[in-house]
Amino acid sequence: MDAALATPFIKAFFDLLPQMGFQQVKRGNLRVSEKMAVSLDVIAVVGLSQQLRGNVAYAMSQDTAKKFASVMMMGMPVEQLDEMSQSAISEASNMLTANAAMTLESQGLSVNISPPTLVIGHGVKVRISQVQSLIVEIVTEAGVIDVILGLER
Amino acid sequence: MSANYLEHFAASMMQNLQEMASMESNASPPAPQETAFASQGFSVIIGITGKRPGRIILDMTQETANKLSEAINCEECEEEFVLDTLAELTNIVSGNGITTVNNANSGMGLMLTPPSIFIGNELTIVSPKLNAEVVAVTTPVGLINLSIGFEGGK
Repeated sequence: MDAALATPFIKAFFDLLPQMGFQQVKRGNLRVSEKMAVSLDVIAVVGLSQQLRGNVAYAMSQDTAKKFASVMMMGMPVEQLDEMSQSAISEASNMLTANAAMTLESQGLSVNISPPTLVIGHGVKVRISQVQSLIVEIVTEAGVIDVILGLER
Repeated sequence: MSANYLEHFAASMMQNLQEMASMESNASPPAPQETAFASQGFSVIIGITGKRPGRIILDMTQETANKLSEAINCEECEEEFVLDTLAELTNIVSGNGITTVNNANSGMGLMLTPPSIFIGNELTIVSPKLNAEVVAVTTPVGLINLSIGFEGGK
């Protein structure tokens, strides 16, 4: 996939996370992933249709997911990844992808997004695309989020 | 939206199993599905965009996925080929179902996103804020749960 397509998805983190109360947002490593890869344990996947087709998945550890949800809920302690924190993670993935879709729209690529589906497991094997995918790490105070991108024009 | 949209998907599923794998199957009546459910181990997810966004999930065991792929392709399949086969089956069933829904409801403009596949032993799948229903499709190679959920109302 075209690595330039990753930029709007990274930008979304810098646009939105400070508004959600995050102090630290950094871009980590970028790597090319096998089509089928073992992922971190909590994955929110959002589908894209129209001029850009594919999936974007936000993967993080259970620990990061709990801390991420806690920051989103104004620092409320999150002991378990319960319904409310699952909903928070899911909503964040929806907002991030919608933000990226608006950037893409302004670049002339019309994109629609599906509602997020959350997959929680341990040692989950994931294939989000029939092409090779890119993984961009986003480092926050809640931990590392792997943004897995499998997109085709 | 017609209340029995899920039956279009179930009918398409049974027809495709017959045509592609020569398998007789039965579908249960649609039942409401909880926001979170346990996967059998092999899940294909396709998103729906348009006026009523949502998602379609085909969920089965790894063994059912392997056997279904063998029945469709008539050979022992590499893992990659099993994934391609099940992704394509989900695409076809979803495409048929969505076309029927679009034709019956003008201006709905529903489109599908490409499939993503998740495999694991203890997977929980959560679709917050969706109203989902599930049909259990019984096949000779195991149970396939066909779940469809849309945002807001049924």
